[in-house]
Amino acid sequence: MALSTAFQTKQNTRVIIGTEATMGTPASEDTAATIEMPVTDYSFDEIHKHSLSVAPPRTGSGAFTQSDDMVKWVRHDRMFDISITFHGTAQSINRVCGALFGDSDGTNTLIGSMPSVTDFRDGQSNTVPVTLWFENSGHAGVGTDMYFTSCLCTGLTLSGDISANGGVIMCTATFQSAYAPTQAAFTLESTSGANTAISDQTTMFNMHDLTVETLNEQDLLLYSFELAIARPVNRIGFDNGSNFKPMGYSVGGYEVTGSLTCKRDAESTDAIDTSTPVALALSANDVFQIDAPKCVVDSSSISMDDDGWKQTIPFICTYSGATSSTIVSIKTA
Amino acid sequence: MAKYKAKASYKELDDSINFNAFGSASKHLWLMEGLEVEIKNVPNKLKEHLTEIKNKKEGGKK
Repeated sequence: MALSTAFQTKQNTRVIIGTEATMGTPASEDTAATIEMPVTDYSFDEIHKHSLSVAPPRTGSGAFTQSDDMVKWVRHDRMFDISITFHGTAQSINRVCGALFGDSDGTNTLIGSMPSVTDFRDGQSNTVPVTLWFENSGHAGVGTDMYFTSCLCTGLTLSGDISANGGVIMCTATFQSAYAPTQAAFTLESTSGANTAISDQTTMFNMHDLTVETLNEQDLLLYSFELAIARPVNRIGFDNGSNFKPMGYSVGGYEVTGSLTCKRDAESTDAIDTSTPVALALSANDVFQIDAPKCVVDSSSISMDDDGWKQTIPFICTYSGATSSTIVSIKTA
Repeated sequence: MAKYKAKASYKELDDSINFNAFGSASKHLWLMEGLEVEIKNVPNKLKEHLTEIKNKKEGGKK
């Protein structure tokens, strides 16, 4: 056997999200709508992911060891984890909001009665699951790709920091798939579908552009913020004759949390001096806009920093009254 | 921006045809609840399943 000279690098790998038509079938190379994500970092599980299940050793002399009958690969419950970190552009945020809660039209509104689609059975028509394609990331490197079929988005975090990352709003999206990934040559830039390229995403949202930063209608001098939407996804069943693919997924409820770090002053303390839900509004000239009308503020803390005291305000976003009410909207246009 | 309500026929549409298929799950859910919804561009395939609300200043979209 000779040593292989093949290798993979992040710099040589584009990441594309493709819209699927049928759960369990990867997005079409010919017709799927795709977007190349403005990714800065990513990670995913190895293709042969599994755990080991080990029987306890027997008692008594002469048997206090483990045979290969007592240790087995476990694949029926595996979930492949994928994480991508990317610049917050309108297109990238819209696409991930679509994967996470079904809204990708630029208003990106999560409401109390979501999700709208709950039937995730293998083989069913469904445009919510996505194929995640990592170019040149197969074992052979250049020319061999890796893609994950029928991924469900489990979380999106948006964060902005006035003194980090050039102020660019950075996003991290997490996905899970119960389908084993594929290593093969695959081109997820369809010939007849809509492809959103990196060159279409030249405008990224930035902390320095924020013109509205209010909580409970109090103006805050904001240093940083974070907003996270998360939900659990579980696999249902398995088919050991077909590489342990699932029979379906179950999805859990959304939890929307966040935090603000701002200068500690009369406005910031007034903003949190209430046990009733308050409105959060962040806006960059009404283009990039986060609105959460009913935030319940958690216990705040003080950072006694040399450049002035700051207040960190954690919160949970909720809806109020009818389930048609908004929990949070992430407007991008 | 014009406001619309769902006709009965909208509520019978498959997810591959209704607003879920157009990346607007919130609009779909609002329409299913009988609310008036502001919609900038109505997809051609959905026009026959919606009723435009005219001359109303206040709507039901939350």
